[in-house]
Amino acid sequence: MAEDIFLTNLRFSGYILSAILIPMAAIILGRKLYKEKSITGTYNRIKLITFGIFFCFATMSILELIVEMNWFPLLGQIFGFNIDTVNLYSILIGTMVSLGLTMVFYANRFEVLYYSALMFFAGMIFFYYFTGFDAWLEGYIYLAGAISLIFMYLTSFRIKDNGALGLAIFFTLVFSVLVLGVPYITQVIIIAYNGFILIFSLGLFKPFKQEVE
Amino acid sequence: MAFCILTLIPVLKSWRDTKNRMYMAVLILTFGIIGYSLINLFTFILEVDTNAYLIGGLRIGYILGYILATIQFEFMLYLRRFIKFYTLPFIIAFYLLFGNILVVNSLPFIIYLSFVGFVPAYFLIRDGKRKHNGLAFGMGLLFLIWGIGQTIPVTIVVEIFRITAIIVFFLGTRGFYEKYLFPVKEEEERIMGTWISKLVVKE
Repeated sequence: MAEDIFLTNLRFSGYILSAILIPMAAIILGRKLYKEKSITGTYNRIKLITFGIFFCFATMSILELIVEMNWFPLLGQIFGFNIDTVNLYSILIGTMVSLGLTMVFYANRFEVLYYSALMFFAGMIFFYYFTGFDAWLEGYIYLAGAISLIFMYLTSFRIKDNGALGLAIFFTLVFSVLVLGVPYITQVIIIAYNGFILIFSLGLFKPFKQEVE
Repeated sequence: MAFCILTLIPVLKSWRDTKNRMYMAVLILTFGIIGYSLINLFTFILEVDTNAYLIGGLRIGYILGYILATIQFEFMLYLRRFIKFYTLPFIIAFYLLFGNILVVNSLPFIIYLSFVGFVPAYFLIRDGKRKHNGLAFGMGLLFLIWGIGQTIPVTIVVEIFRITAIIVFFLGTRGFYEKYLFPVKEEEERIMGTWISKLVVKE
């Protein structure tokens, strides 16, 4: 009984923390992006994609909290909470991993592939609405997530970029929640990635002292 | 196919001289049409029924149609330098092909082929007319006539339309439209000037 209460509290703490910290990180990133745009006149594509990922993640965190608290019961049905079929949750996760792949393509200047992942994922959603087929969605999310993470680590070490490495660690934690699904461990990981995003947003995460320009 | 091969020669020459990407795109498209015609020829010789279902609702004719549509779409993207969208025709063809396996419905195939046929035709004819580019104009007519032919479900009519389309395209590569449809303005003015001056002298 006590164990159940502890687990529930831990879960709610994780959801509340995520619903506060992730949108905050998204706002900080958005502000930085806007400031840079007003100075240079153009958006930095990598930062724009990072903002896109955080925006999706922030939306997901807020919706997760609303669904968990059962404030809007109807939302729970649309949201889904699983990635084996098309619902709001899988669409958001899928968009995030597709953006992750897009970021990898941008960082490595594979111009032909820039929008490929996003177009492929959009095709998958349309395909579901026209045929009802969604068997490859879960596989795509895992595969795209794993590929983008591997390449994110490789890119971050290659260009010695603190931002890229920070994102890679953050998304490894997020991704492990999706893959593991073990109650205690996932709740601890949720709190851990919230703590990490706080450190990252405040600019305290600097493993590479001298970054390559 | 014979006209396509005849088309290849001047285009290849022009590409070698100018290295213009338009000629390169036309070359790729012409090779595509030759390949398509070859497959069609083999299916005809081997008496393969292109309307037969392979898996689910997928027909051999659909596969051929998607190959040609992908080449056409890719051609337009290459011409407009939309490098970031180069994979789009392949993604669309992949989903439509897979969709045909799951669902027996030819509507997505027809809509996609119409889109890929008529939209580029409109832009090519418009741009060709504006810029007095006979090659682009010919390409536009090729897409248009070929596309109209595809909508008529009578084999002989389809073939006539296809041959007409290729002849029209061939004329475009030979500079027919520049010569007879879009004469150079200065040349026109020069002729007009001579004609008027002759009248003035006479008076």
